[in-house]
Amino acid sequence: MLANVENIYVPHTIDEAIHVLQEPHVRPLYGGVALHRESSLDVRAVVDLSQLGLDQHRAFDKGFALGSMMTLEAALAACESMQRRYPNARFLAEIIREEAPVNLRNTMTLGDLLVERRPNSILLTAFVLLDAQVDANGWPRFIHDWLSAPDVEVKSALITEIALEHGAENARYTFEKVARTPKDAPIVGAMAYVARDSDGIVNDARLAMCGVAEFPIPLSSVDEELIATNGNIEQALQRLQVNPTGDHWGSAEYRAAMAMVLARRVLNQTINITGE
Amino acid sequence: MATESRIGVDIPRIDAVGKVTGETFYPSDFDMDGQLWMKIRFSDRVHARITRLDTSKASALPGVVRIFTAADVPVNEYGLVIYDQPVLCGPGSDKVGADIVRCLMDQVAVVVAETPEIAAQAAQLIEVEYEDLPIVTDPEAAISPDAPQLHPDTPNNIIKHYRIRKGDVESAWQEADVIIEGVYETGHQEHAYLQPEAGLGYIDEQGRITVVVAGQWVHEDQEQICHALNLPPERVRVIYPAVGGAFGGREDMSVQIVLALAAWKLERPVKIIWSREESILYHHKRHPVRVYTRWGAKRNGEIVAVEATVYGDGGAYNYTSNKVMGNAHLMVTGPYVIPNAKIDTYAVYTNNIPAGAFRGFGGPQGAFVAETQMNRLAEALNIDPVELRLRNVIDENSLMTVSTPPPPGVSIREVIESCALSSGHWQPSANGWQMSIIEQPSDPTKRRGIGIACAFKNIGYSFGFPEQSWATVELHGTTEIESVVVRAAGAEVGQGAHTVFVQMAAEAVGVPIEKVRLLTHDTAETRTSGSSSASRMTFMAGNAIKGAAALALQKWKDEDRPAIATYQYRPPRTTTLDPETGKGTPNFAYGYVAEVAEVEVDIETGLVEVLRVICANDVGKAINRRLIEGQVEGGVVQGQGYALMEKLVVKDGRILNPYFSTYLIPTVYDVPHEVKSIILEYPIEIGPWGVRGMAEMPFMPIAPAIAAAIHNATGVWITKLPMTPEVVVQALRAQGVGEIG
Repeated sequence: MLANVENIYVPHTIDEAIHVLQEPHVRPLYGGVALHRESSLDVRAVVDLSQLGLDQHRAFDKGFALGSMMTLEAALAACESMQRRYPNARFLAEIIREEAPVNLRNTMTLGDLLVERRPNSILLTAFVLLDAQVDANGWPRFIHDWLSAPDVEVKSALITEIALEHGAENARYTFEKVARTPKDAPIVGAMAYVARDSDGIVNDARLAMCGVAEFPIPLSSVDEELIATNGNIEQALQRLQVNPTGDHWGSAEYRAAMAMVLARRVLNQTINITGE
Repeated sequence: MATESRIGVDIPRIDAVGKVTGETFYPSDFDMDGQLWMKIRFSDRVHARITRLDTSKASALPGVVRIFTAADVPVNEYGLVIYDQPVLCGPGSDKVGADIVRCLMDQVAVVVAETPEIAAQAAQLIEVEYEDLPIVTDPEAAISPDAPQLHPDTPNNIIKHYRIRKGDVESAWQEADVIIEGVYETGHQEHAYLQPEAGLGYIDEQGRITVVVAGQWVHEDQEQICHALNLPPERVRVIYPAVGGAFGGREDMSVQIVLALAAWKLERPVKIIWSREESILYHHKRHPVRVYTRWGAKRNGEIVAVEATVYGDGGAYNYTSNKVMGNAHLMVTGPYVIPNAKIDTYAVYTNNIPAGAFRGFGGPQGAFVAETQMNRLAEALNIDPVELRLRNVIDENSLMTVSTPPPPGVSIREVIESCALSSGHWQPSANGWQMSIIEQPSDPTKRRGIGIACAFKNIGYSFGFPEQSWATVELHGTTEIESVVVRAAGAEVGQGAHTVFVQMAAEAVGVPIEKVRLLTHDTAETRTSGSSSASRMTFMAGNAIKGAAALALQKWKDEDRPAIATYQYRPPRTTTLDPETGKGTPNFAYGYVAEVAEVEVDIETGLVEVLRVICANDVGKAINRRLIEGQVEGGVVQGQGYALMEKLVVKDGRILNPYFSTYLIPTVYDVPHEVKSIILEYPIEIGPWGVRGMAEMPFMPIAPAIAAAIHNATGVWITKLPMTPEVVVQALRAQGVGEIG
C-alpha cells in the first residue's frame, strides 16, 4: 500500500521527469507493480511516465531497444515481431513467457523489472547474457553495472529503455533452471550463448546465472575459457565459481551444486549441438 | 411418486451456478449499514508474559470506536477439545496464564473502528511490553524435564500419550528374518483454502448475537462463542454463507468469538477480513511428526513385529492434537495384521503455531511411515510390494493393532488388487503379483518409476468422542407430496455435501430432486449435524436424513399435513484406547484406498514430476460419482503438494514464508497428467444405502506412493516430507546417484 503518497506528477518531457525525480521521496511510476510490491512508506510522490512515449520499441543499426514502460506482454509481442530476423529476439520472447504468467505480463513493465532487480529473474539473467544496456537519466550503462548499483540510485532514476545488440546469426541460446515445481520461478537458472566463426571455431561464448548471487551474474571466466579452448566444457567449468547464500528456497550447497549441473546442461546444449 | 433412483446419479452441484457466476456470497461479501471494522493485534513474541498493555494512543486515534482486551472477555478461554487457549492474551482476565502469549498467533487486542484503515493503524499504536520466556519448538525437546512448561496443568508438555502393547515384541524380533528401521519426518502443511478468514457480527432482528462466518460446524462455533461470552445458546446465532474451502482448517476458531464479542458490546455490525498473510500466519497447520520405527518380517513376508515412537508437534494449544495423534497412532502400523506391537505416540505442546485438523487427521503421517516401511520390507525380502501387502492385510477376522477386530466391511484386499490391476503395471501370476518393468526415457538424467501404497481411514469421530447427526424432514402438500424441506446443518465446504443431501432426501422420500429444498448452515434453523470432517458427512447426515424421512413418511401416511419429523442418528459406539495396552474399538467404520503413482525424477536436480496417479477408493455406495471424482482429483493434488513442494519454513516459532509466492501449492502446471479414479462399491450395512465416506482417502497414501515411485526410479528411499528437489538431491547424492562426473 502506498499509504503516504500525496502527489502524482505528470511530466511531458524526459528532462522534466528527471528533474522531478531528483526531489526526495519521489519515485517513477512504471506501472505500479514494483512500487506496490515494495509498499514503502517513504514514497511521498510518484511520477506518472505515461506521457513520455516510453511504451515503444525501436530498432537501431546494431540492435533494438525496448521502452521501460512496455509491459512484459508488449515486450513479448515486440520480440515475436522481430524473431525471424534476430535469434536473440526469439530467445527473449521465450524467456519473457517464462518470466511471468500472462496476467502479470499484462501489468508489469520492463521498468518494474529493472527497479526490482529480483535475484531469480530469468529475464534479467537474459539481459545479462545479452550484455544489454540500460538507459537511465540519459546515460547508458551495462546491465551488470545497473544491477550492482546502489538501491537509492536505481529507485529514483528514470529508465527510458533497455537496448540489445543483435547476436551472431548462427548463435545458439539455451536456458535451464531448477525450481520447486516445473513452472515455479527458478531456485537456480543458467543461460548460455555460443557463436562460432565460419570455420566452426567458438568465437563468442557467454554464461549467465541467477539464484547464485545477489543479482543475476555473468560468468566471464568461464566464457574466456570456452573461447580459449574452442568450447571445452569440462575445462571451462573448472573456472566456474559461485558463492551463493542459502534461503528457504534452497541452501547455499544446493545452489552451488545446481550451478554446476545447469551450467553443464546449457553448455552441452549450445556447444555440442552447435558443433554437429 | 418418482420411481427412478436419485442415488448414483451425477446431477450437477446445486451450488454450481451461483459459484460460477459470482452470485454466491462468501463471508467477506456481506455488508450492513453502520458497519464497523475490526483489526486484531496479534502477539509479537513467541513466548512471553505481557507485563503492560497500553491502548491509550490507539484509543485516541479519531475513528476508533473501541478496543477489546482480555479483561473484556467474560470467560477468557476456548478450544475444540480442551479450553486451553485464551481468547485474548494479556492482563486483566480470570483465566490462569492468560497473560502469557505462547505463540505468534495469540490474539492480544481487538480494535474496532469506523474504517479498516483506521483499525489497522490503531492496532499498531497499541503498546505491549513483554517479559520474554524460554521457548521450545521441538517436540522431543519439549518433553524433556528441563524444558519450559507451557501450560500449568500439563507437565512435560505432553498433551496425550497413547500406547499399544500387543503380544511379545522382544521375542518376536528373534523370529524376524528381516528388520527395517527408519526415521521419518513430516512438515507443517497449510490448508491454503481459497477464501481467507472473514466474518460479520451483528444483532439480528430477534436480538441474537449473530456471526456470519465460514466454518465446518455451525453448532460448535456457537458453543465456543457461548462458552467464552458466558451466554446461553439461544442468544447466539451462527450462519455460514458459502464456505471457500476448509480441509480441517476451519474446525477451530479464528474470528468467531471476537466478532460476537464486539457485536454484543457495541450493538453495531462489525466486519473483519484477514489478508492471505494473516490467514497463513494465524490459523493452525497439519501436524509435523517425527517417527522412529522398525518393522520385522519373516522370509515369507509375514510381519512379526512393529515398534514405533511418534512425536507430534501440537504447537502452543491443543486444538485437536490429542485426537489427531490418536489417528496417527492407529495408522502408523497400516491396515495390516501385526501380532506384536509396541507403539508410543505423543502429542506435545511447543511454542510453534498450533497444529490441528487437516484432511486425513494424522492418517497421512501414519500412512507415510507404514507404507514406506512396507515398501522397504518388500525390497529387502525381494517380494513384490502388492504381493507383500496382500499377504498381510487385515480381514474381518483379524485383530487390528488395537487388539480388536475391524468393523464389518473390510475391503482393503479388493482395493489394492483393483488399483494394481487398473494401473497396468501389475499382474497376478502363479507366483503371486508381479510388477512390470517401466520404460525409461532416453534422456539419461531422467528416470521413471512407479510405486504403490494403501491406507485405511476412519469414518466419523473416533476414540469414544460423542457422535451424532440430526435432520428434520418436512413433507408439504395435501394429496401428494408437493415439496420437501430438509433441515440439516452439515457444512458445504466445497465437497458437494449439500448436493448429496438433496439426492439422499429425494431418494428417501421418493420424490424428484427438484422438489427438495435444503435449509442449512444456520443454528437458528437446524440442529447439529456435527462437523464436515472425518469423511463423515455423507454417512452421518445421510443416515439422519434417511431416518427423518422414514418418520415423516409415516406421519404422512397418518395424514399429518405437513408431516414433519426430526431424527437423531447415532452410530455404533466407539471407545477410548486402554491407556496401558491400547486395546479398544476406536472407530465404527473405515474406508479403504490404494494408489499407484508414476513419476519422473531428474537425478541431477532432484525435481520430481508426477506423471500419473491411479486411485482406487471403496466408497461403499456412490451417491454422485462426479463429486467423488472431484474429491479424488483434489485429494491427489493436495497430497502431491504435501509430498513434494509444500514447505512451511518455521524458525524459532516464526513462519518465514506466509505467501503463496514462497509457500507453494500445486498449480494446473504441476498436477499429474492423469488422475484415474477407480470407484469401488462394497457397501456397509450401517451406511445409508451402503455409503462409507471418502473425502480424505485419496490424500492418505499419495506421499508414500510417490516416495516408492522415486525409489523405483532411482533406488533411493526418502523418508522426509516434503521431498523438495533439494531433499531428493541430498538423498540421491548420499547414495552416489546423479553425481557429476
